Amino acid sequence: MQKPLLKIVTLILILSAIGLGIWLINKNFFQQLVIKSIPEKNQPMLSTLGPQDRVRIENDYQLILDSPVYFDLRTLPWFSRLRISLIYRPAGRELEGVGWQVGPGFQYQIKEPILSRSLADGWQEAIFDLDLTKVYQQKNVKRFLISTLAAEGQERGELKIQSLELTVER
Amino acid sequence: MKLKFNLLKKKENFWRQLSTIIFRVSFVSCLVLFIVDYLIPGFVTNWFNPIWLLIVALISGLIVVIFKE
Repeated sequence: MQKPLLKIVTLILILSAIGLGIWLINKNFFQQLVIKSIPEKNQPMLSTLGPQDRVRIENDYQLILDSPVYFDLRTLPWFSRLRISLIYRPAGRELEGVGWQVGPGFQYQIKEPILSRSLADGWQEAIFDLDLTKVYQQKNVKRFLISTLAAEGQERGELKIQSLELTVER
Repeated sequence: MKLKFNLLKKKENFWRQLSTIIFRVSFVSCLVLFIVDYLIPGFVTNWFNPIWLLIVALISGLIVVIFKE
């Protein structure tokens, strides 16, 4: 009675392990992958915005108080393109661009959006298109920054971020 | 009394055998996943933390040791 039961359990466990392997292969070989930033939550693929003293969370919005703020992307080597969609509202700070690390230390190249459009209630959307193969990486971590500028005549301001969405493509 | 003792022993053997199977499968899976993630960083850990399999392997390994004949 116990032997067949053990055989069934063994079979189930081995099939589960194989299933886990197939699931991982399926997850990693997507043509494209969309990653959304969640305030105050470090995800395996995308970190939160930092350093913490330059970012504040208010009503599920991320407020950028100073420039620059950084985020890390952990992605696989076969993804070569990155599209960043940033929905923001200037409140004393303007968006300058998004930068990517090109070498060790503080070596960043900043790029302006390829597309910028106005949405309702003062919100704006900026889209950036980057070549991931040119980004410096340590192990599988690529670092990016969001650069903002204080609006004229304003010493203290903020940039309200509604959503930060990253799409990696092969 | 003897019958009762045998039943208990059989039960112990069953749990030990079951734990041995769980230990083998979870430990080998964990090892394979760690190697894959070492070769391609993020392949596994972007989606699943293999430490959970190591914890399962540790618990089942402890049961194997406790129910040692």
